[in-house]
Amino acid sequence: MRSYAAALAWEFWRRHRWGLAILVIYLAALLVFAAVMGTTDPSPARMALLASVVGTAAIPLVAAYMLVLVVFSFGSQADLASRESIYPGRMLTLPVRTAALTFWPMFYGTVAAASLWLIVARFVFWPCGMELPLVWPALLAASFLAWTQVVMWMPYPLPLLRAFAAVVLLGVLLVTPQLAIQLAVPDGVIAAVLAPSLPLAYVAACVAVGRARRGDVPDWRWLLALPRRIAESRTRRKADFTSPARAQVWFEWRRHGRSLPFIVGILLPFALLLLFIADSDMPDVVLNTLAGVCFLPPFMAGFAATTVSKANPYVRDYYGVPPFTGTRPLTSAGLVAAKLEMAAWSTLAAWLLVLIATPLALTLSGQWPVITNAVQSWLAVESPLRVAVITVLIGLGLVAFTWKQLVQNLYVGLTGREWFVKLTVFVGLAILALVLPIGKWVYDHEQVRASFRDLLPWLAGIAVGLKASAVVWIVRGLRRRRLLRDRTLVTIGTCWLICFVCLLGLLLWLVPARLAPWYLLALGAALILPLARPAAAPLALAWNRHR
Amino acid sequence: MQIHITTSDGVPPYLQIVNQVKYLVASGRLAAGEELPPIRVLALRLRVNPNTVARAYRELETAGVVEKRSTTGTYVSYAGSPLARREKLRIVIERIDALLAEARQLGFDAHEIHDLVRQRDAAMKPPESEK
Amino acid sequence: MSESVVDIQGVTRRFGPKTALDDVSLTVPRGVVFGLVGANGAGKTTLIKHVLGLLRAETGSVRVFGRDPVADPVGVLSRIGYLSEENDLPGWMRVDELIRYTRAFYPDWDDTYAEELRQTFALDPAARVKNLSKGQRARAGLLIALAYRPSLLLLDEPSSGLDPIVRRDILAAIIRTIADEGRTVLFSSHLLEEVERVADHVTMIDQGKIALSAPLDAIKESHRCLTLRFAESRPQPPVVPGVLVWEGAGQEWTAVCRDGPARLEEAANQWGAQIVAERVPSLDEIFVARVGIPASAVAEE
Repeated sequence: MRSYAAALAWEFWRRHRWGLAILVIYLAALLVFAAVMGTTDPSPARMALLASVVGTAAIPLVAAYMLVLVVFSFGSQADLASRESIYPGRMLTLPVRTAALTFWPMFYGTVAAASLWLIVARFVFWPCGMELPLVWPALLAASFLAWTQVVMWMPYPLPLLRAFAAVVLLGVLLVTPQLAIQLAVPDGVIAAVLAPSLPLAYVAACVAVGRARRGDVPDWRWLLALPRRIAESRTRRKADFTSPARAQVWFEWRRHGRSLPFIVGILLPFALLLLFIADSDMPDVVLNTLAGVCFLPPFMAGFAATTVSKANPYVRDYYGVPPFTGTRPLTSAGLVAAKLEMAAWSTLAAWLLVLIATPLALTLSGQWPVITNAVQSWLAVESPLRVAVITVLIGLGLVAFTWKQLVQNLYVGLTGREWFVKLTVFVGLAILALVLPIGKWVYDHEQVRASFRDLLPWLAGIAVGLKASAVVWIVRGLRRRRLLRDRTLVTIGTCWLICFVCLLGLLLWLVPARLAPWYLLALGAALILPLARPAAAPLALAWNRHR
Repeated sequence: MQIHITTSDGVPPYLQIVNQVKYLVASGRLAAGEELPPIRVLALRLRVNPNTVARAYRELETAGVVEKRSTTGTYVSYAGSPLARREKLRIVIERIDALLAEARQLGFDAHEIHDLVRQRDAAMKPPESEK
Repeated sequence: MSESVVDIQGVTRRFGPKTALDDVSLTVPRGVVFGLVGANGAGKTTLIKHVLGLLRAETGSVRVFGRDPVADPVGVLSRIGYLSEENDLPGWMRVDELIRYTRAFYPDWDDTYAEELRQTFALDPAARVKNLSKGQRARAGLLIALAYRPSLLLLDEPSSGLDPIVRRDILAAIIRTIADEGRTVLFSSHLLEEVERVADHVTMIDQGKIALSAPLDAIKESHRCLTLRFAESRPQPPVVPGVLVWEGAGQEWTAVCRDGPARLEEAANQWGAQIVAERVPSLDEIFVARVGIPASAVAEE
């Protein structure tokens, strides 16, 4: 390999060959599908159907774009909260000029991002009848990647500034296309506005990498020293932990517990902003915003969940259980119980933020009348008892759903096997890529929808059967490894049954019989309540801890 | 009490302690009735296993150089040890034989050895002027 | 009657194609300092991880205090103090938080002793672990491993990469532990000088197999380093059973032999050679002789 450019390209390929290979296969599948379907029977109705199907099939493309983002900004094992640049230190000591060090990753990245869009738009969307613009989205994708690289490679004077900058950048990316479409700006103008951002990004990146290389970053941490000293002097003499379980819950809280409240806290102002912008004659906007705010914690919990089970990045074996945790005299079940409890506290903290911020925002923006009107119109239809119960149920349900999101996929990260984690992600995305288009197709066809509704109980029954057999297998594994005492297993089973009965009762009372028969409600309740996956967590941890 | 342990010359550490204590007693730096450090303290100071120190103390006790007083500690015994004179003679004769063999190999004769012995004896005596 | 603290029988462990441990059996009695010695990658850390239950025994059995560390992690780990060579203390914790967190797990935690250790090691309670130097981190790890006076102190290459002052602290910790009744120390190291000073029993591991396992005194007594001077110059030294390695050139050849010098003295008489020097080799030399080069001549150029 003669040149730095070739070496870098080889390194990108070699390091992420599996991800890139899957991406190529996926693109090829889309291309073939579009080519075959697009050329047969170009009637308008069919074209519309095809467009919607392909549209949903392309949702995993977002994941593909994120993969490209991560690969080309060297972010695969990056610490977003650190001050130092993400640019790999070992490359900074190569005998290559800073301009070249910056140019090649940016070049490969922008080309990859732009070509991703160009290929998909031209060869998948266009044959299926969606004539989307080519140039400016490609430029937007490339520009966003370039600026992400700048944000990642810049060393910052304060920790967490990078996360803040990334959020701002993400905001700009999401707002720009919407504004452009709303204001009906011609494509050429958008392209002309976006084009200079690329060279600008290159210059900024050169500055960033240059600073990282020379190590001249101002250190503003003294700003934080005073608040920290105040906080530390307050907590002079802490009481001792009453039991190992308490200590472990504290440990988990300090490590992971604050991520969800933190993320929710950062995004909440942006979400509530709409309340201030909406006029008083747009009640829908207010209600939609509130709904969005209510779904924010569960949605973010899905992201925060990936950190709850991650291991210590300082230790060689990134995914394994670090010896510090593995040698605690605590059973694997105890370790998992601490994580579950921490998740509960985390959920409560996040929801507390929502419960404090939302009324505050409503009061400040003077949007209370909208809420009172909506509630009154609802009270006119339903009895006050049902309204109250439904409201409380929805509230509790959202909180429980958030907790469920946090702990549901614990078992994946806890296995500690990198291949397992990546396999799960891949399977999830594959299911998404298949299920969404099929779902859309079913939804659009009347007869299919009717027969699907008839089939639904059977499908639900099969799903419950699968869940039950998974639970049996897991319980056998737990008993064989003696991870949980039989008494504990019986207690957990009883609690689950009680929850199931209560939930079923409530659903039967609230949901009118014509919407869904009782057996469907029962199957649904059985599917919703988490059992198999949280129970698999101790098994996964033991598999990881005792290799 | 200045003792130095090396692991490089092949002599077992316990034997090094025994020999050095004997030397210190003989040269007067450890007076009769003086207390030796407890096993644990000496082990920490020398950075050796306490069992090694315990073994050295046992050897010294057998040789009559020190005596153990129930729980109070280990003390240098007064002159006139219970060990038979015959045993002491045996130890010293062994040393002399080794010395003579080495000296002969290196080319010294008995006269020169004799003179050297006198010289070293004079150097080892505690200086009278310090009293 | 389990007088032995650690009892490993017939453990084999493979990682893919590589065999890390090959039918290893080891018994650590109570109240000794047990030294585990071996080259990098020989299997010492793998063995220690089996004792901790971090690795499951694929074949054979591992019993610590008579229990299986995988089946009963609480019973075993609450009596073991572990210091690893890896830097795995959580970086975000402060020293006082680390102490407060760890003591919740051990009912035998001694507060005054922990405070005494903290002052001896000069650890600032408000300092975060990630801001401590490597030596300070080793001391912090040592503190939380010692403060509850564990029955078994397990050290995995504790001194690697540390300055002499910290190494002295670690040796002192080993000695203090063993001075108490009934407590045992098992440590692996390549600093053979230190092993020689404090170990009662030494086990040498080479490529997953146990090359030698004996009390240190027995090892030192049975190995000898003899220099022979031959009548005429030889290109190769004679082959004598019991000699681990030869070194030298021409007329003078030095051998490290096991099982006593008797056989070599016979061979010397046979070949008309004279024994010019005899000494006890250091543990370092014995280790290199046993594990380094196979028993063949090494000619000096």
